[in-house]
Amino acid sequence: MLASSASMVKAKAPGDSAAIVFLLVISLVLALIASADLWWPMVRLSQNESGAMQSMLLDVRLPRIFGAWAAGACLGLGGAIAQSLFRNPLADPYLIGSASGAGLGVTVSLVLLGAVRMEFAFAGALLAVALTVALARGRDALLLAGFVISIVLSALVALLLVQHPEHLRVSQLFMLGQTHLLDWQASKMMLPALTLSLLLSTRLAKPMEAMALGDNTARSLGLPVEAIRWTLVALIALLSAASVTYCGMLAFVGLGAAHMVRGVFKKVLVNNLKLLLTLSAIVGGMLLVLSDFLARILFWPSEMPVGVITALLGGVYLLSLLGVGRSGLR
Amino acid sequence: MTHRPPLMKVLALSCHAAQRCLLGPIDLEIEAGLTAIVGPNGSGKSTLLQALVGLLPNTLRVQGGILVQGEPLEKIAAAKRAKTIAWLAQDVQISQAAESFQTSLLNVQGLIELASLATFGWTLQKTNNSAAALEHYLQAFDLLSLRHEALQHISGGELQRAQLARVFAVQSPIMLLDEPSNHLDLTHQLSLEQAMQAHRDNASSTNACIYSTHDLNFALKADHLLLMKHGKINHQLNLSTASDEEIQTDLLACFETPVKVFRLEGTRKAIRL
Repeated sequence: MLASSASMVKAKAPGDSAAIVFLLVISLVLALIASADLWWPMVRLSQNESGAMQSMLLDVRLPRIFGAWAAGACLGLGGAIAQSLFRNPLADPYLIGSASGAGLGVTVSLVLLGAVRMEFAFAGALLAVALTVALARGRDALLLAGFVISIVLSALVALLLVQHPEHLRVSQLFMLGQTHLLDWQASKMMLPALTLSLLLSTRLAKPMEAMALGDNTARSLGLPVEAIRWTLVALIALLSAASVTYCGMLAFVGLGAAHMVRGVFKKVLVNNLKLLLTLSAIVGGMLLVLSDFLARILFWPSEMPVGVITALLGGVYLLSLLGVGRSGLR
Repeated sequence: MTHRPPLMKVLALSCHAAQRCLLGPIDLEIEAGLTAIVGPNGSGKSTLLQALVGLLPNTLRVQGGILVQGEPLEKIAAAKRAKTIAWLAQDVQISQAAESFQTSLLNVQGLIELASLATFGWTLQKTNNSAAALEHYLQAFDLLSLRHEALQHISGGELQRAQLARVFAVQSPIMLLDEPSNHLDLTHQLSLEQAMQAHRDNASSTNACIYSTHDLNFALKADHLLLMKHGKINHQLNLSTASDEEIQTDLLACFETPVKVFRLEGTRKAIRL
């Protein structure tokens, strides 16, 4: 019996890595397509002529694609963690207040300094989550507290903007979600957050599965339920703060990535929350790279805010779920 | 049956929620073997079981002490306690959690494998080493054909069996089962009784299983019977020595409903009159 189970574990692992590699390859193909307008001509141009293109590719386009992938991965992972933690298929990583906090941070930096400052966005996001957690104290109130904090902070943003209408447009662009500010610095900030969260959350995947049976049952299995919960809240805060700082509020990515993974990879995901978390991160990255690409080309030469595209994609996807059956949404 | 030191000892345990007294004061010694708890609704059965595993919500005011194998319960590390005491929540609590199965991806086998979080510790991430126990209890609770079914696609009774298998698979010396026979059909009630007896009759026979139930016939299968009322233990009976009349009188006092205890083909039975 031990042997049969050992072979089962071994049989499971290739499925995991196959799915991961498959999605990473698709991500890479997406990245190649999204930068084709730059590297394709370079192949045929001489060294001298392609210099400008090369710097365009390396300094502007690639950091943008890579940053979009990282931000999307942060949201996808954050969403998958939030859905498991809150036992709610509609949870997304902004729920605990980080997005509105970052919005307030950006608006404050506009009013005070006249420019968008990432430090302000990040500090705002973390501050909002800290407020949410302090307000909630108990665990059940966390979603409610996040909701309240979001409303209050959004009201503060509105108040600031009424008094300083000259910043309305920039602030609104941030709220809509954008990717054109992404540089290598952004990736440098987001990647460590993503890596740390991925390592920690996949390590906590089995305990999270047990917590789905109820807190007391999880405790009876020896799990430090509170410590795990607050660790996960901290990860959601970090992930959403990191992405919202550089890309603003992006609708749907956090909510939808885990849903798409669940829909497509149902079979390999059984008893495997760890894989769901990993794949949700990659799919989140893919979604944002794709949305960014569409945002650039759909109305070329003018550019759409990427948040509009993610919202539209998400809307279409969720509508199709509702139309096909009640499998994904309740 | 020879006398052994008690596996668990409860000393002046009481538990209050705001003004209301939920439990106690209770003094109790739990010996090896099967102990059944019966009593009217709200008599404190679940609260007592939850107290014995140390999982009462901290909004309650708890006084008194619990010793597990001579050691104070609150001093025992969570990982060690999980190996020593397995607990089955009442199905009400399970079904509240059940809606979250939609967001989890567990099937029956995955649910039972969670027992290894208790046996091997949650930090080790060794989830498949308990394969022998897993297979044994899949069979004992007739779950072999259901092992690959997702939890949201099985019936209430099937979920109860899977949860029972998960609790038994911890293979802990002490089991606390809150109404374990709920939703079980006749055949699987028998499977449960057999699994409980096998747990009791293991090599060292130092295992204890404490279970609450509203099924008096199931309760009479135990070695010891606790009758609870208004948060206190009204009567405590050793079923191997107590007479049918004694049991009958105590049940009447506890439930205030006439009950007839008799023997049918050598087995003790109880019916409401």
